[in-house]
Amino acid sequence: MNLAGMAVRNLARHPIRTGLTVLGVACAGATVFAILGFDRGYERALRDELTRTGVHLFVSTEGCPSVAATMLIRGGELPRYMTDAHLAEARTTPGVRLAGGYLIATGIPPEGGGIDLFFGITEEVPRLKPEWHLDGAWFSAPDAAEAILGATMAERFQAAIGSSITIPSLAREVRVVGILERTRSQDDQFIFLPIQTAQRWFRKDGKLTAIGVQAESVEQIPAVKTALERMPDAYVVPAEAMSQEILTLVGGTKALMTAVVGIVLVVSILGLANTLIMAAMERRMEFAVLRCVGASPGQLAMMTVLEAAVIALVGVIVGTSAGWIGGGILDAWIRRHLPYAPSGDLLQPDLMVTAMTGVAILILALAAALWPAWRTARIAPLEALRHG
Amino acid sequence: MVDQAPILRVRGLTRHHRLGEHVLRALDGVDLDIQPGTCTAIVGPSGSGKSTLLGCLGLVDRPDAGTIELDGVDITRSTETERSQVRRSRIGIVFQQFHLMPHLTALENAILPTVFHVAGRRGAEERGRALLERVGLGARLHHRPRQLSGGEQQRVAIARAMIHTPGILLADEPTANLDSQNSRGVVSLLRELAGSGVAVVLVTHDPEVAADVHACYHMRDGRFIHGG
Repeated sequence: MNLAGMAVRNLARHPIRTGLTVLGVACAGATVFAILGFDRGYERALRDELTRTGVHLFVSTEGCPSVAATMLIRGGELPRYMTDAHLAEARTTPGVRLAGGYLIATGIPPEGGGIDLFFGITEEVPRLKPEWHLDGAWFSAPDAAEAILGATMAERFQAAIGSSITIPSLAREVRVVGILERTRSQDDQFIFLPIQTAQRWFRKDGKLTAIGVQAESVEQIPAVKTALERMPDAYVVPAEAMSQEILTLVGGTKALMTAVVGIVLVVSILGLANTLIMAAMERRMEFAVLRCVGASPGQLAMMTVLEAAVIALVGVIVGTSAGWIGGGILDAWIRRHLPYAPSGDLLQPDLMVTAMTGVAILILALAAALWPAWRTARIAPLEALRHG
Repeated sequence: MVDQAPILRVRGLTRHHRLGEHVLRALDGVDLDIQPGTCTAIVGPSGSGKSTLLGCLGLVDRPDAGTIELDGVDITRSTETERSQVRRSRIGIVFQQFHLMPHLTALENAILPTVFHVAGRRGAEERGRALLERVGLGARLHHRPRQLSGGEQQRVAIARAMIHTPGILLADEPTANLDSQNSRGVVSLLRELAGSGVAVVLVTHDPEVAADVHACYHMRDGRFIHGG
C-alpha cells in the first residue's frame, strides 16, 4: 500500500459523503466542459455556416451593422429598404456570381403566442444556402400563393407537402410546396414565401430587406464590396464582419454562462473543501497515530491532497462523460436561449476541451485541499499518546 | 547484556507544562540508560511524568532541557522530518488504546508504517504476515479490528510497531485495556521481543507487569525515586 492507496481507502470509508462530493465536482466539471465546448463550438459552427452559405457580402440599407445582422438572422423589419433595382444592379456588378434578395417581415397571430417570421426569397437563395435540404418543390412562380416551411413551422401547422394551410397572422391561405429538413438553425422557424408574394402581402412592393452576394472568387470580394458600396443607401457587410457582429450579440449570453460556471465552481470547490476539512477533523487521532508510526507532516498533507485529487479525477471523468453524453440535450437547451444559433453542433468538445476541464478542476481541487492539508500537517503526534 | 553500550541514553531530561500562571515540572532532570535486549518498566502514579517521558523518548514531544542520544547520536534537537524518519525506522510505539485503523485489516494495519517508508515497502507484506504469525494471529490476517478481541488488537499493534524492526519499542500502558489472560500474553510477547534484541520500554500501572521485567523505574513528580 502507498499514499495514493491510503487516500483511496480513506475516501471509501464514507461512500455517501465521498459520492456526493464527487457529484458536486462532476457538476462543476460538466459545466466547465460544456462552456469550453460551447466556446469552441459556437464560433466554429457559425463560421462554418457562413462559409457554407457561400454568401460573402450582405447588402442592406445604411445603419448599425449589428441591427442589420439581427434583422437578417432573426427576422424583423428595418425602417429603410433596399429595392429590386438594387438587386438588379448587384446581379450585374462585375465579380458577382450570385445575388439573392430577402424581404423579412413579421406577423402577429390574433390568438397571440409569439411572432411569425416571414422570409420573401428570390430563386437564388437556395443556391446561397447549400445546407438546405428541401422536401417537395420550389415555388411555381415568384408571385404564387405558396410557402416553404421550416421544420418547426411545418410541425406547428401540421402541414404536409401539397396541403393548404391558413396562416392566422396573415389571415391568408397558402399551399405548402416544400418543407425544409431540420437545419437546427433559425431557418426552422421561418415561413418562406416567393419574393413578389411577400412584397405584395406586406405592402412592400419592390422592396427588399437585404441582398446576399456571392463573389466569383474570394480575391474579388474587396472589389465587389467597393462596387456595391457605390449603390445609393447601400451598406455592405462582409460575412466575416457579420459573424463578428453575431458573436458580439451572443457575447452577453456567454458572459452570463461564464458567471454561472464561476458560481458552480465556487460551490463545488467549497463542498470539496468542506469534505476534506471534516475528514481531517474527524481523523485527528488517526493522523496523530500515523505521525507516531513515522508519517511526516508533508506525507500527511500529501495524503489529504491526494484525496482531493482522487475526488477531482473521478469528478472530472463523471462530469466530462456526462458532458459528452448529454451534449445533445444541452445543445437544444442553449439554442432556445441564444439570439442566434448556427446549424452545426454548438457544443464541440474534443480531447483538448476534456484536458482543459481536467486541468481546471484539478487545480481548483488542489486549491481547495491547501488549507485542510495544512491543518492535517500541523496535527501533533503527541495527541495519540495523550489520548492513550 | 548490561555491559553493552546503551541504545538510548537520556541525561537531565526536563519538560515543563505551563498551566496558566503555574508551571508543572512533568520531567525534572531525568537520567536513563536503556540497553538493547532489555525490558524496562516505568511505573508511578498518574501525573508522575511517565507518559511525558515516553513521549520524549518516542520523539513525539520535545524536552525543554537535557539530551536524548540514540545509538550515541544526539537527536534532541532534530527537525520534524528527522524525527519522522527516526520513528519510521528506529522506534516502534504501542498505545494503550491500540489505535488500529478501523477500515484496514490486521495485515494492512501491521504494515501501515511502510506506507510512509518507501525503502521498507519491499517485502512488507511477507514481514507483516510473519509478524502476525509470530504474535499468534496467522489465521486472522484479513480480519478488521472490530472482529478482533482487545488482546488480539494489541498484538496487531505490536506487530505494527515491529514491522520496520526497530531497535526500541515503547509501550504506553499496553495492558491497561486487557483482561489478565490477554495481559499476560502481551507481556510475554514483549519479553520475547526483548529476548530477540529489541529494547522494550513500557509504562505501566500494573505491578504484575512491572515485576516481570529486567529493570523497573518508579517515578514521582517528574523524577525517578528508585529503580534500575
